[in-house]
Amino acid sequence: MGRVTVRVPGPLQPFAGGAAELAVEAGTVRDALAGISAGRPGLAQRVLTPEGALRPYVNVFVNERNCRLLQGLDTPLSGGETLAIIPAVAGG
Amino acid sequence: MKPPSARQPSGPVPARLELCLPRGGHRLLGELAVAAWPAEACGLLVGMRHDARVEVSAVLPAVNRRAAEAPDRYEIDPEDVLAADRAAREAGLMLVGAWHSHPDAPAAPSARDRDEAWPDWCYLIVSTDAERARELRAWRLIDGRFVEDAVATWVE
Repeated sequence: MGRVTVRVPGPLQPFAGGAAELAVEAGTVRDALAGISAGRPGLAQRVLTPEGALRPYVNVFVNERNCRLLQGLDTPLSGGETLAIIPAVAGG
Repeated sequence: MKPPSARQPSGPVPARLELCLPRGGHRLLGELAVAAWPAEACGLLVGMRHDARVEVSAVLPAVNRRAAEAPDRYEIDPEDVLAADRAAREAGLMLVGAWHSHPDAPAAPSARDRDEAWPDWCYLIVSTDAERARELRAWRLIDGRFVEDAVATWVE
């Protein structure tokens, strides 16, 4: 548990009060996303499903590693990490 | 690409933005689109967004990791998006959108484009055939429907 920095991508910055980065106390990726979403329902809605899972078109990196390849939302954080919310870029 | 959906939600039309490409941006997009034909080319747009204007500083090419799968799909590796996002932030800029090509199809968003688009991000689409790019149009998804923006060249 410690303070982490979360990078907010451009499309989500309007839902984060215009912030490009947010700092939050968190012990897991789930905590961090809950922390930055508190009082920001638009942000939560775009990152997590109503059931609390990571949306398919959202990736969260923990110090450059995709959390899907770690322990997902349960990936532990000790403090000092940088998390990056990255939109999936796809279409046809 | 799949055909565009026939119906979009009704309601007031949001204001258009002006998407300003750097000098040479149009030509680069066309060249990349033709080079990838018959597959889709894709990449990212780095710049800054102002009120009614998006200034694109760089048009970045990216690997389409779906190119071998189907001629009507594109996807950029999340690691590549992360690297571009980091580089943009270090330069005091941001990712303002993405671009991709529609081989032998109009430069209008497909149903899949709409399903996978991020709201209010800029999506540039280049229509191309085997020989040359035909059309370049810019779109943003607002309240579930695509709004077309103006495309201009940024003159410093």
